[in-house]
Amino acid sequence: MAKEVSSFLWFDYVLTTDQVTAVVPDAASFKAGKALAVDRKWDMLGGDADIIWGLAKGSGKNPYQTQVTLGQMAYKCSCPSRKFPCKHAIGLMFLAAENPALLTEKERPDWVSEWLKTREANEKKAETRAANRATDKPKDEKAVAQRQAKKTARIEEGVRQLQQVLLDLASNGIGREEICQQRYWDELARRMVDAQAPGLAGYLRRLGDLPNSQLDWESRLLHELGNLYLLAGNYTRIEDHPEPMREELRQLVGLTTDKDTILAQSGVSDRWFVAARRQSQQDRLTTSATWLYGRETFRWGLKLEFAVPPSRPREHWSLGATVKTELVYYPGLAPDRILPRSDSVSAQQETLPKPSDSGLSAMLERYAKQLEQNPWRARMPFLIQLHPAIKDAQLYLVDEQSNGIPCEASKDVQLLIASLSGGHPTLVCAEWNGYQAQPLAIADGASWVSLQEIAS
Amino acid sequence: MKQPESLIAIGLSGASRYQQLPPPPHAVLADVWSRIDESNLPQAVLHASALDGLARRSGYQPMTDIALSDPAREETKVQIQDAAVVAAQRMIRGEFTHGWTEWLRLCQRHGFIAAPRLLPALLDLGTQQRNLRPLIRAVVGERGFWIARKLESWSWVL
Repeated sequence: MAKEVSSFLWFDYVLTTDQVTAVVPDAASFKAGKALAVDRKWDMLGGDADIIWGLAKGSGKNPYQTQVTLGQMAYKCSCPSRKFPCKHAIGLMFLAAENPALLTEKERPDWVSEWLKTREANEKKAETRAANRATDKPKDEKAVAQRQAKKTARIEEGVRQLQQVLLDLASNGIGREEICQQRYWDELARRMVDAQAPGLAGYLRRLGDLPNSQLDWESRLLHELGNLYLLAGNYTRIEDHPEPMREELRQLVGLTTDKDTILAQSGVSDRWFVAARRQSQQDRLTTSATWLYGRETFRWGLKLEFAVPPSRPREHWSLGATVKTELVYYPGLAPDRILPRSDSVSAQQETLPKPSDSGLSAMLERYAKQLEQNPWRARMPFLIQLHPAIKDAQLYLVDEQSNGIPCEASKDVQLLIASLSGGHPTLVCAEWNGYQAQPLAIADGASWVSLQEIAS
Repeated sequence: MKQPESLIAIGLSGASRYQQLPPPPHAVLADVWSRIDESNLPQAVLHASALDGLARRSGYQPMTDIALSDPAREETKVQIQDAAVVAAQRMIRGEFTHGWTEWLRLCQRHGFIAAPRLLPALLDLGTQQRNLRPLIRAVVGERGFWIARKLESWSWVL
């Protein structure tokens, strides 16, 4: 962070233009919000570690009271607009992101303190309600059980279909034209969606990306088909397995676990470094995946957020920041997916963390251990000081012991990685899938830079 | 009995053309390979593929013969402040692109160099806009000259 603004106490909290842009509902709001992100449109601009506020000068006699909490990015404005967030909230956020020094007031006005108090009370009520829900018996147990049985039967039928498809593929071979077409895999995926097994559908759709993606893609496709058959076979015998395996299989097939049940478990408290984030779109659903890295426990947690366009997943922990909080792991085999205990914690700027592994050999060993526990683990993140190097037009990441692994990166990403390293070892966050690494973020001096934005 | 020479051979042309599995791809798999039930050969191929994939992924050996290029020389000038990086990023995204000349001039006049994360975009800018080249050359620093050697279209910097 630049020195001259860090003297503002609340500026420890990071609000970036990208974050603001992500919550803007449409182009008109963006334009109107941007126009309001100037000093002269406001009175009483102020902020602290939790909230920013200001009086928006409107056309009427009374100015609008606009406020935004920094933890959850919750908005409130006294204007009559039905857009959410309204242009005043957007303007205030842009102003805070671009020109934080303008928020000079430190004392919270009454209307700000009051709203925060109401929010706090509502949160408590919601918690109590959730706790009650968790203990309450469902109203009509019989109907619920019937629905559940019907769904289970459909999934089982879908899994049996999948087993047959895989056996046919193995029998006829994958050296056929139709196998190379995305259409073939999309059609299989659709059948799994009909069978209410979205996890299997996603798996199949990803297989459609493999053909011709690299030299040994046929061999990789065979591995994946074998793994999928293993998954289907184990799912049909799910009751024979111990609980963590049962949970893993349920999640892989695509059954959702109730959030309250997960949050009833105890979690892991740490200062979590927001190491990487990537957004993808599939089936009219935007998924935002964030890797969090525990500075003290050295554990990794994957936070997933979903949204249906035009809204975008809400992410209030910006890349490169650190969040002191408790994360609760989903049940399963060597689980990595998490839910934060509370969403309202704000992120702080800290120095970059220490590497997650002493080198690539240690990382590869950690990956082998995860596969031993969970053969369906697709990818594992790491954070290591590495040299980028190019050999035969292929990017490699090389560690201090001169071990190197191949990297999947576009030409643009390769050049950016090279620029940032300047040929020196540089802290890189990437995912390893057993074949190649996908770089996600990298250090630029003391800053932390995403490699995903330019990749997409 | 017709035996395929490799897993990929039977995988590509299909189990229906063969009567048994190929030999194990690696000695570590020999024991478990011999225990795969071959009476249902398509199923045996899928089981063998899963084993092969897991063994390869967990036994991955890193490369040890990758030559590193010489690092860029130490910079003699100071890097621009974060606020100037943010302004440049907005221009890279297409906002206020007429501001480039002013941005580059200010950067040069105060003896600053650009942050490394801006370099590919700045070098691309100079490739497209010939008139900005002298200014860009002045602000890319040692790192800029170093990276420009890696791409033909950036050779105008050198």
